[in-house]
Amino acid sequence: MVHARTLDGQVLDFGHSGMLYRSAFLLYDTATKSFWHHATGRALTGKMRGKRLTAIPSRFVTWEVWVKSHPDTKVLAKDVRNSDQTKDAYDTKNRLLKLQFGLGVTVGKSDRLYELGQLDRMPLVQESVGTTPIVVLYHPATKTATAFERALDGKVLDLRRAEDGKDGLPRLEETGEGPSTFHGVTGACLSGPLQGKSLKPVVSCFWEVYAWTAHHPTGTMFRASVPPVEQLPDVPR
Amino acid sequence: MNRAGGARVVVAAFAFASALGLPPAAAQDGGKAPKPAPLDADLAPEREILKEARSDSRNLKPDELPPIKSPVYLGGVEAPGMDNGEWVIGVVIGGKALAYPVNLLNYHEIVVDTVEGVPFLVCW
Repeated sequence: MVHARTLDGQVLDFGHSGMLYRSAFLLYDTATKSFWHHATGRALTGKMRGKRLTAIPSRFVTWEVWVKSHPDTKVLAKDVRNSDQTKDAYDTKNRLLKLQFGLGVTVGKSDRLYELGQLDRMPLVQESVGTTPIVVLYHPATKTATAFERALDGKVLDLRRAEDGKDGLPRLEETGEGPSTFHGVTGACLSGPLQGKSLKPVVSCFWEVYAWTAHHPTGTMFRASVPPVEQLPDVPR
Repeated sequence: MNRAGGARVVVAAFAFASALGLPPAAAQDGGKAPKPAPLDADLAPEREILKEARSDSRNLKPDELPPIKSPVYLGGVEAPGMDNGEWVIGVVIGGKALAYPVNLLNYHEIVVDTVEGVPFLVCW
């Protein structure tokens, strides 16, 4: 997760408390020593308790997907001599392949989880979270899940999956006033009447399903309306 | 004189409210306005959070995993040790695209930085 460090006009500095709370690690701010939840950005203890840092929308994608969609990107430098910085210590790659993760989306005060297993069945979801129309896109080939607001210039868009781009990344298409094509990772409109505009990314983060549930007691979970093949009712012979 | 009179009315209203055990804000509008819920209404009590956090056997010392506070960035193409299939947290701040390898965040957990005048924090 990425959070702004400015709160009520004050810039906060953070350290690692060393403590875990329900598998989430706790940050502390150097000014008040309040403990903050690393992913929700909320202070759980101390003077700041209840306050929330503003989340900055980020993407959780493979390096290949990020660098293809943002060719001018900079990357935080690894110390390649330190194997601790290059190894996949928590086996993230394999756990993602087993779809134990989900895309946790926050819109206003509403939290909703889109498990990758559910998105695998329904790779394009158009719905509203709170009162905000959003689109959630899943691209199985690159394991990319992204979420955007679905309104542009006050008009709600009806989107569908288009053919992948030459970069192998997903595209979305809107056909209201002639076809407009959007990049499924950046949200930028690449062609058509809306070219030059961008879908606004929604605050989202990859979560392990059990951890998201533990930290979002009032959140809701998306269920694909398409039943999985193995659960189809038996047809009478 | 008016002012003094006004003050007396306020004092009287406050005393009345106190006698009823009402907070002053509720007394002023006849108790109709609902008191806004405290910011932490949906959180577990602080004592319980601390008790549970302190009992976690995986706890480390503060800053034993050192946060990165002076991050060094490299251009995407020349960055060594990056594998196409590894996961990153990507963000665009003030028009600048930045990527944070998850394998590196697993080790440091926190990056504290300011880019284009925006102070921010990355954690995983």
